Amino acid sequence: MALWSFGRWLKDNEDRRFMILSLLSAWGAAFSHPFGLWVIIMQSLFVLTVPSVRSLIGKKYLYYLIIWSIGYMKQALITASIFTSGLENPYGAKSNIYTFLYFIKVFLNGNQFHDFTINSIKDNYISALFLALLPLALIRAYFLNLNFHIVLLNFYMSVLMLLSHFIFSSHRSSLMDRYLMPASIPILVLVVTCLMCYPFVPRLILGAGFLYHYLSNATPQPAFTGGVDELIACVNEVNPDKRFPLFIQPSWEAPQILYYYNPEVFFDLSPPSLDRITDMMLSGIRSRIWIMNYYDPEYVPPWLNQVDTFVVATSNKNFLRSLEVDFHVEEPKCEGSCVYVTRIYRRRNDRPG
Amino acid sequence: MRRANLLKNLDLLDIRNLRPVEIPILVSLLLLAFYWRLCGYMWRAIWLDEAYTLMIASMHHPHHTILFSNLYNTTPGLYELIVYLVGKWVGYKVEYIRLISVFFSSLSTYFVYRALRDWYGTFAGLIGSILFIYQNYSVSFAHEIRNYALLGCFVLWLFGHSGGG
Repeated sequence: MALWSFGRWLKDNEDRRFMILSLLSAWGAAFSHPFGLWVIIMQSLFVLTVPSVRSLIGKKYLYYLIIWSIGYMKQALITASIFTSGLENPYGAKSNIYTFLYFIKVFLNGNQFHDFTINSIKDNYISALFLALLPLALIRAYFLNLNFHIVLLNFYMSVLMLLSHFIFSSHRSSLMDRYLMPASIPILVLVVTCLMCYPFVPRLILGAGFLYHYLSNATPQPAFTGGVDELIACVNEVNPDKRFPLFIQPSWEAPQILYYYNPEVFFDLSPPSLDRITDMMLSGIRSRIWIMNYYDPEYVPPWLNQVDTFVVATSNKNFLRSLEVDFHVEEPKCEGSCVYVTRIYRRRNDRPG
Repeated sequence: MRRANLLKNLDLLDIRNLRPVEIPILVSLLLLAFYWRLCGYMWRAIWLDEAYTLMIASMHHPHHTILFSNLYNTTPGLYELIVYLVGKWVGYKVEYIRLISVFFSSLSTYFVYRALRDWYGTFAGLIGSILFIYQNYSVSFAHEIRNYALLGCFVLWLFGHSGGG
């Protein structure tokens, strides 16, 4: 919406509806995700660097930017305080210039996705070629008037967006491969835009080279997995008839396990509420599945005292130690994936009291 | 009213703009994209984020899905709403629900083609769409029950729609 309304505002620059829509959607993008800030950065850069756009909406854009900044001020303070707090984001990674080059390589099929090793940074000829072609294409587009504003818009949408993301991520861990999706496709558009800025013969040679490189490295890769299929295979192997109860820890890992292990619990919506994890916990207790974050003997499901054996599925090996006060582990019959651990536990009979 | 010549009106959804010879080309590209994205789309089980999407999308009412998305999920709930509608229709099996991302990712091929073709001509559209069809990164996210394929599709559509030369 933010991209579209800004474009429409440029087309119908006297029509205030699109300006207001652009303002609202630029707020929306920035409030819904910190990454959405790029929309306002890109708009400002576009207005600043394209003279025809500046002459068209320059003055209005200044007021627009001031109103946008006033509206975003509180959130900006919150974001800035988090960003400068020194606290790292547990879900994000830190980055540097090599990460930037690595992702350019990934987008250009130079490397297998999720294969971030030192070898994947070395021999990065494809990124080097692309980054060398880019400034020449920009210069040619500017001086020969070859749709310069489109090249620039693509450049902001892809390379500059990536670069800013990696600069911010180098300060505070916030790099997430999936957030780069809005840049991954414009970068391909930029590759073609870049080629089209060259004369016919170099364009043909470079295009053929890119295509050959690209197609020879194309492999349909599976999506990321946490290894839940291996976990379920293990659980079913050690507990084929679901004779023993299942412990799942931590609770936030429960949905994908329950989806396969017990879909009735996963889809149980009685009573309907907005807290699905708690719903699953309650429904799970009725089905002899205990979903928890820590083990406290004072707070256990009523059926636990009647059972002496259960299966544990966890991604946290420290949690297993807390169980060993009351239970002892059987020899694992099946080792799970690298993420999950599956164990069978039996109640200790030697415990005093 | 002063009209800017900078950006001309460009409607990427208007297929009447296409020449007859382009229709079979586009259909072939879309089929190729769909076929390539179907390769291995069920190789792996769902992971945490996908389970959360299914969990949010399998609520009693669509407004619960949107509310939960906005309250807990930090992303707007359009994709979850689509999964809700498809799930209520065909069921929440992974093999069906993953096809939503496969569909949107394949559809992006059309927007790549149209944007580049309208900016630079058929040759550019063809090269760009082939590059997109075989981009490993996009294929990976075409296999996920998350909103990334939809996001890519919308970015292309609206970006091309608003930034036409």
